[in-house]
Amino acid sequence: MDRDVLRAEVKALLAEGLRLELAPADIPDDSPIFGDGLGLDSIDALELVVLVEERFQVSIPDEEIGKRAFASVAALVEFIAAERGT
Amino acid sequence: MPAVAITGLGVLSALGHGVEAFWANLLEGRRNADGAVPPFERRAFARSPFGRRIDRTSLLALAACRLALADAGLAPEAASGDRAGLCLGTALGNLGETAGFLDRLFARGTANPLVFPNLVLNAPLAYATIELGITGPTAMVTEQEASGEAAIAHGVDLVAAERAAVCLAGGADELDRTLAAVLAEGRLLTRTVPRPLDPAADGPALGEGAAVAVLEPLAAARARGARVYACVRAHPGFAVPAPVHGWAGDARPVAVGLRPLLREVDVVFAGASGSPPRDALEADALALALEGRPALVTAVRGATGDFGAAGALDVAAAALAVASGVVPPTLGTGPRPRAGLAVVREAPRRTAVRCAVVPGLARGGACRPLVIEAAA
Amino acid sequence: MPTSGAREVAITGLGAVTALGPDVRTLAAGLIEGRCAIGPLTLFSHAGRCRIAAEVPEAIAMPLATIAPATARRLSRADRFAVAASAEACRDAGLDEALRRGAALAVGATTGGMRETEEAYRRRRAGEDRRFRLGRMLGTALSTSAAAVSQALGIFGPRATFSTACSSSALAIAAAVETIRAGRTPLALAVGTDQLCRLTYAGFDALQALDPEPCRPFDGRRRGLSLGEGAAALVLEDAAHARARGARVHALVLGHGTATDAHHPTAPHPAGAGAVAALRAALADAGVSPERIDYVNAHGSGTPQNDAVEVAVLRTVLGRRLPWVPVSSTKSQLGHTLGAAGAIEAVVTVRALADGIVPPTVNLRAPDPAWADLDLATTPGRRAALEVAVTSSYGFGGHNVTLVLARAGVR
Repeated sequence: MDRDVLRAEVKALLAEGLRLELAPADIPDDSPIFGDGLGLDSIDALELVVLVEERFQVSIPDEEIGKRAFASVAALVEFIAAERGT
Repeated sequence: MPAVAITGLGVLSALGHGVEAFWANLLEGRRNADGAVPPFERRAFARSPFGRRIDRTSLLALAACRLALADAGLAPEAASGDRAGLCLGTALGNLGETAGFLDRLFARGTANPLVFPNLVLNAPLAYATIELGITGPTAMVTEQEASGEAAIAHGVDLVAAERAAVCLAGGADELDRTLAAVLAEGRLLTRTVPRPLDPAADGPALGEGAAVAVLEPLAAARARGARVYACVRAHPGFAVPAPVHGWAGDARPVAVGLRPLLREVDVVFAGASGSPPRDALEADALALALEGRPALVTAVRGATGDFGAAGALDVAAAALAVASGVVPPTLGTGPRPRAGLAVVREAPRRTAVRCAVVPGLARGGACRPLVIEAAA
Repeated sequence: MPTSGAREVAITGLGAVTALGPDVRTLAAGLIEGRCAIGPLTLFSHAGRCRIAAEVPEAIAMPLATIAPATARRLSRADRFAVAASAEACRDAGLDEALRRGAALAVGATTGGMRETEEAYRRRRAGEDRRFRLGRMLGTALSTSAAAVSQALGIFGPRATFSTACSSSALAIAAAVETIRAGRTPLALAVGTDQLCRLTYAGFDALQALDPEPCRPFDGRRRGLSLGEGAAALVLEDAAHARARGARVHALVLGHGTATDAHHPTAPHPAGAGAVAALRAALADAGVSPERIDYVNAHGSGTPQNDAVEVAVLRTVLGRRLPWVPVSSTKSQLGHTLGAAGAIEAVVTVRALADGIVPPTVNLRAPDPAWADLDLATTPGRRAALEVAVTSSYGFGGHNVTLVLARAGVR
């Protein structure tokens, strides 16, 4: 899948699934998803794992991998692409 | 026991936002056919980081709290901390997100951890205490159609017992598509307009909303120069034989319980909604309990639609009537109301209201009446 | 605040339906034996990480002759638990029809008939039902349990239902105490009830709050709570009224305290601000100093966060007294029964005071090393002279309630 398409999908998923008060296009690529970045917390993280696993058919089995995958939108796009071998 | 005053009111309903819109539209006999609260900006009321997650019922309750504080001339800091209390009532709570949560659980096998905290009945209480910084005694109360009255009664008790120096009390319920579908399929809603206390009524119309009152000891309210709408007394309440899931068939035990409260009453703010079993019970009980006293009767649900916590709106309307000497009309009721009651129809009635009663009847046999009186 | 002459509140009747059995006798025996009632989840299927729960066996005696069969069929399991526990408590207190009629009723619950509602909703979604069966949906309203108890037992005094998550029925007890203190009625029945349902099970699992193993409150390796279900009921009575009719007094309610965190929708305040305030308010209401506490029936849910905050709260309020006070969690045996927990744990605490036996925390192998100085009572059947005990309930959303109970005759 094209990275731009994937990036747009990830941002739409974040905005809608986590009820961000932000249009998908306004979500920055490089700021952290959790902590100071988008102001998300641990409950958002639990839901995001479920949403990403369901939507993109990938597995985020533990916190270590989660931390890496959710470092930023860009990191999440790369993680999904790598897991799916695209 | 110190007298408890109502010094602020916050109301959201199909009639609009705020106590002025509620009262003006109620007096003018307006109705909003879809029963929904007009849209409003979430962030006008939800200011914490959790604000983006707050569900509709909780948001309605929170908005009513903030509107009530502003109406009372109290900064949020003045009604926060451990001497401030909060009592909220809801009959069914967050139905919309509950249905969505179950839809996903059944369809995909996954639960949404973001929504789950909103599905406990006390979510409105959690969000409102967080937003307002209330750390004193709090309670979420539920009693079907009398959920608003029950919460206000508990709040009055907290202030009267001096467990809280100021207490916000009221209720909220939302209009939900699934509920509307269930009731429509059961032919339990009107196909035209609701006619409270009219023998030809064919059911209520669904509505939604929230109303919250600021309760303070009368002496404290006077000391800070606050406007006092009225004083409120909470009857401990009682129960009568009734089907567990339905309305009592015999009005006499209800009349026996209400009679002592109606000896001085000028206006009854009835819970009648146009539901035949409910209205028949309330009308018969009032007629028996009034024993020929020429008290006026009015029913707000003709204008606002019916929902579990609508009794909190009745309390707001009663306080406004006591303060202003005007009784709003009942919409939809014809010239021959049930049980020969003196129902205020068509136009508002100007009359001194020293004592108003909200009967607080609920299915399953519970009664939570409140007495709203002019401050001595 | 009680002043001289304030009415003393006695507990004169107990009832319980728990995973340990259908009555208080089986509950008390299970406490002494230290039985853990947490086993495989059988009530419904769940695809998550956790597959265990403390279920009440389905064969709970219910349909009372006083409830019409058509109505009885529509009662939820939570309603039936509540009616059975209430009937036991009224029998235990020797309340005849006339005494029951004027009694107040306060019920605490969180999801009530949700399981039946879920099933009706699932069938409709799946097209198995052409239309909603309204009768099944009527149980959705939480106050139905109170209506069922009221109508089944003929209790027609003041009635209220409280829902502050896991402190719901502790709040119901506090409200019932106030009704008696205010002189409104000499008798009140306080009830807590809840049943397992998909909504709470899947929801807590999604929050990763469930331990896949039976919960281990205060253990260094604790990973979460186990869900349970059941009901408990307590007859509260003006002590003078109880004396006058020669009723047996199980214990006294000396005081109660309620306070709110105003912090987070699910997590407790990190320093337990609301829990400290509730405990202090309850002790002040009781007129009892922390030095007089002989036993703490903890909230003890078994989540890493809750137990840490709770120990911090106890250190703050009990100070140097803490190491000398046994602390235990009934949830290690019955799971977390949510809205019923406050009432069930009050019954357990009453039995501890009356029997002079400390209820245990089971499944506790290696306490968190930071708590080596605490008396985390792990041995079932341990005898001790207990006069004053506290039981605390901390609800989702930051609603904290503490009750102070005492052995009959203590003051």
